[in-house]
Amino acid sequence: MVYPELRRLAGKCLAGQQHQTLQSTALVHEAYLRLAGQSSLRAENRAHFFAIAARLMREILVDHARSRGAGKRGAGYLTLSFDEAVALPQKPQIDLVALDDALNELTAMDPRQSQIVDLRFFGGLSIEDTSQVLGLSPATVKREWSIARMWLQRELRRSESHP
Amino acid sequence: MIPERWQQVKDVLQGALELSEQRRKTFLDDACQGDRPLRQEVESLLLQENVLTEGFLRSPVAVNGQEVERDAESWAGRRIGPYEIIEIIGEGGMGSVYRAARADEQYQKQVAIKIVKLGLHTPFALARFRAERQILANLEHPNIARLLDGGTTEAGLPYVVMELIDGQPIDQYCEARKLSIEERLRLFRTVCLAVQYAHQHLVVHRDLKPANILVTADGIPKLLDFGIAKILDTGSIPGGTETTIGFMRMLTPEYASPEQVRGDTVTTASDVYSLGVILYRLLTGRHPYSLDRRSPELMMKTICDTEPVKPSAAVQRPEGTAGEGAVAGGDVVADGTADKLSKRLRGDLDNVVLMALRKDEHRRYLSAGQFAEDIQRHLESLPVIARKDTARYRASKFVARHKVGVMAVVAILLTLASGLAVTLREARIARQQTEIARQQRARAEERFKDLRQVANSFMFEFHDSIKHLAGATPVRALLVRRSQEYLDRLAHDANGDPSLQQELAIAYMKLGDIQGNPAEADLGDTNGAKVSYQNALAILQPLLASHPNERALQLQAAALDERIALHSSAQECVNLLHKAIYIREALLAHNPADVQLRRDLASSYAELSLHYANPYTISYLLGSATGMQYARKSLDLRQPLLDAAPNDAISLFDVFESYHYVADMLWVTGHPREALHYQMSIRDRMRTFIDHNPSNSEARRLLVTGEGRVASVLEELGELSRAWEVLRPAYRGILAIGAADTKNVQIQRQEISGYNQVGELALKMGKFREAIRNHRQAVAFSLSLIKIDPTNSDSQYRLANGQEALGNALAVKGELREAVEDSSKAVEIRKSLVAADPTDARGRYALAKNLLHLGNVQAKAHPDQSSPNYQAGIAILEPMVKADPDDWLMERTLADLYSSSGVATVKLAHGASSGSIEARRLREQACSFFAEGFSLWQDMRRRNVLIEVDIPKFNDAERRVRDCGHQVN
Repeated sequence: MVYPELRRLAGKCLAGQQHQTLQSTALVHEAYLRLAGQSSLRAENRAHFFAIAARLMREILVDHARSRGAGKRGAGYLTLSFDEAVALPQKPQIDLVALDDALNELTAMDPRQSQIVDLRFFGGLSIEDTSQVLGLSPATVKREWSIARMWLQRELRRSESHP
Repeated sequence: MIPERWQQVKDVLQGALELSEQRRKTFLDDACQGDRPLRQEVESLLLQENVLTEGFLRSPVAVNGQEVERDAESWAGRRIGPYEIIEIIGEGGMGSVYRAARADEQYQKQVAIKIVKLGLHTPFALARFRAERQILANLEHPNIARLLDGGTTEAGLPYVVMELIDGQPIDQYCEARKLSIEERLRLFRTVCLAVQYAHQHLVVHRDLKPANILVTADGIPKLLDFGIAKILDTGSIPGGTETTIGFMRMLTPEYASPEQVRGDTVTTASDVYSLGVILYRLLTGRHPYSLDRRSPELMMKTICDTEPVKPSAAVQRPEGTAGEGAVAGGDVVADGTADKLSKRLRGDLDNVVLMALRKDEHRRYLSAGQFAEDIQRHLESLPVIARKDTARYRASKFVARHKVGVMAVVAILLTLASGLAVTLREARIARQQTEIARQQRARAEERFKDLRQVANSFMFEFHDSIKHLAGATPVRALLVRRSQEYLDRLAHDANGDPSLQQELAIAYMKLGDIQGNPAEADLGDTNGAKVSYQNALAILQPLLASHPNERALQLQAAALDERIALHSSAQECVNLLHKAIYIREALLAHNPADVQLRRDLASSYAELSLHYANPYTISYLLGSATGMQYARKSLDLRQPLLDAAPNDAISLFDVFESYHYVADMLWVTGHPREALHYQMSIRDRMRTFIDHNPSNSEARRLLVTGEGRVASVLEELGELSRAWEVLRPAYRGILAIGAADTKNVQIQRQEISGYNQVGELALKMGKFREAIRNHRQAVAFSLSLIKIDPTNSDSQYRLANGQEALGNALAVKGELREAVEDSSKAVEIRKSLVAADPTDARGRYALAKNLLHLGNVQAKAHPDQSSPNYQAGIAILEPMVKADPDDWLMERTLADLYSSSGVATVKLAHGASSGSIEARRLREQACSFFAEGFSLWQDMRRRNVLIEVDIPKFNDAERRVRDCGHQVN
């Protein structure tokens, strides 16, 4: 399946990385693109594929964060330069380890919502693309996404104050 | 929290969110019904709504959709470099585009700034971005939006500053002004020329669409958004148009070519396709297909498989049917009614548009420039190149075709050493070797270190000077042996001295070249060569390990890989070539201007494409378009070099080779007319070169080689007299060259091939005497070569070909005794060749075929003598066919052997006393032969690889088997 292949590629990319910026993400996603270009990926499995790829991205980023922070909560900050993605002046930071933990909790409650977060945040899909991949209406995706964000923000704040 | 509870929370939350603050309280009272934990949960979540920062959970990977606009607005008023951003104009491929002006008010001119979205922080990506910027900055064309500046923001975001174009998308422009067909065509042609210009600078746009072609108020079209264009296939990532951000973003399918949609390699031909769609729109107001955006799978299928409706037909259909997306307002041109428009488009314009839209990229216009030319031709009322697509051609898909290529395969690939079509590749390799040798020498002279180095260069100089001496083979062999000993000793001493080691690696490589160079072929020591190359690699690898970024080492390794590939089995070969390509592509991405690197990469592609045309790996490779893609890639890399230096011989020869490889692949996969098209285009070019450089004998030789191929294709198309007209002057040309340069062995070989090819054609045309005469010449020539150099296997091979062909010709004329003699001689030679190199599949196949022909000749007079020959042939081919059941070339010959065997045995049966046991045994034997043969024919029919000339054989075999059945009963 695709998963081990992506992992292998990603592993190769991350080996020897000094900075924890978007570098790793960019590398992984370059690796992803190479695979995505291969005709062995059939359209019918696209949804499945995207889900896996997004999941993989998440794992990689989180692994990286965890290894850097040696498991300590709050030490998993990656300088993910969000502004570089969105051209915003601020530099919000996210504790990926805490996010991962929170997402795992969310998955237990609402797997579909968690998947939306994976696809939107780690996979970078738009609302429309997400809706197509999951077979939902864009309105549903928007709604779920908003609620998920609220919940995650709350959880992350809580974890911040109780490390 | 359990899932059901969460659902509850969500429902309430959702309801509350839809209400204003005041109304929420009552709503919550209602909804929660005293469930305090529920209410608390919802309220704490509601708290987040107010403080939810914009930036929370922004994707680290990409941002799409509405978020972009919101964020983009925040750029307004900010400064980037010397520019101040005014407002957002739109979203491009890589990022958002803004209107800006220089902050210092010296310049009032406004520009467009595109800020790249994704943080490109990997050194590789940044380097590539810089390289692209450099390439784009070099694009100076009145119809391409100029790249003015570039840089990175404080945050590290790359941005580019471009000429700001104020204009309308081309389709809207045409519609708004109600331009006539002619005006649209002229406008479009300008666009094509701009695209052509970009292609010549190795830039493929990849996302051509009306939105990217703005027309100013003055009527000047400007191409935009080369932001996603990449250096031609060097380290590029296959897949959709928007590949570096939003990696899951989907293609803009309406203008994407089939190969883009499939994720195959994108070449200049893809741009041609997109241009075709644009033209379709401009002429009809519609799209060639109706695409349902909701179903990507269906879209893909439509783009790849469905034939577009002819423009003239499309305009007559009501909107909403095939070809949606018409410009609102229905009719598209000022010319009037749908009927009138249809009439205008019918014929040439239909064909022109459809040619650009062909699914098979090699059947489209060869370039955007050619597209432009055809449009010009139409505007001048001249006939266009574009031809109507026949049903047969349309139905053909690259994937499925094995059929018609048989003759091509035989002509080009099997008679690699004997057709007038001497491999172009040999010529190229020879050129490369000379070039490398020259560089080697230059380097050695530069770094004049010590005796050892001098000794090295001496060795090679010596070799080069005796290279062309006929009869020097034993001397050369001795030299090689000495060199080997010498190098081995050196290797022992060289440990710890990296620069010496590198020299040594080069020396071994050169040695390998001498031993096994296919162009020299004389020493024919393939294994020796391989050993030398591997020695070189063994020395090089530890060096590479400790200096991984040392470019010279990397290139060396790539060169070695390629050479080993030349001497390896097909699969090893392909792997090694891919490796070499990978290295070179990566290096080229960092050094796009490196001409030598480009040449080398193009050669690798060319070499790789040959593998896909190798009959001994036919199985699945022949069916794939990959070989063609590589041939095409090679051409795409080489063509701009030639355009930049039109008088450069090497560039021309390279392009010549590539054209022929593409032509070969087209031919082999059943498109002889297209092949001819390519061959003819380059032939004219070569002729012009020769006119200006009459003393360049290599050019003449190449031209003659090309003519030989042209003649072969014409033969395949059945145009024998045309082929004759092409071939005769060609081989006379070769004779002239040969007379002037008697020492040149390669030319002599070409002469032999020439005689044989002419002879075979003559035979087909019924000119027996000519056939026999030419083959006799070939034989005589081969014999004289052999006398000078008896161990040369290549000459032996050619001799065998000549004798076999002579035998066939004599047999047709009726001179059976002589025919048998010659054919037998050929068989003997082939047997010894096979004995000398049992791994040579081609040699074994040739022997089996020869045995078939010999048997056929003998069968007329002495059937008892023919049988053993047939049996011998069967014994050779049977295991080969079993090992590779897809090889229809061998299968066909095997089937012939069985059938002929059967016929001969039947004759013998007649000869025996009728009713005897012997007679019956013979008949049974014959029947089993027929059965075997027929089952092979049936297998071939099942796999759809029969060609026309096979049909009578098939029917005959079937009949025989039926007769056998009757006999038994």
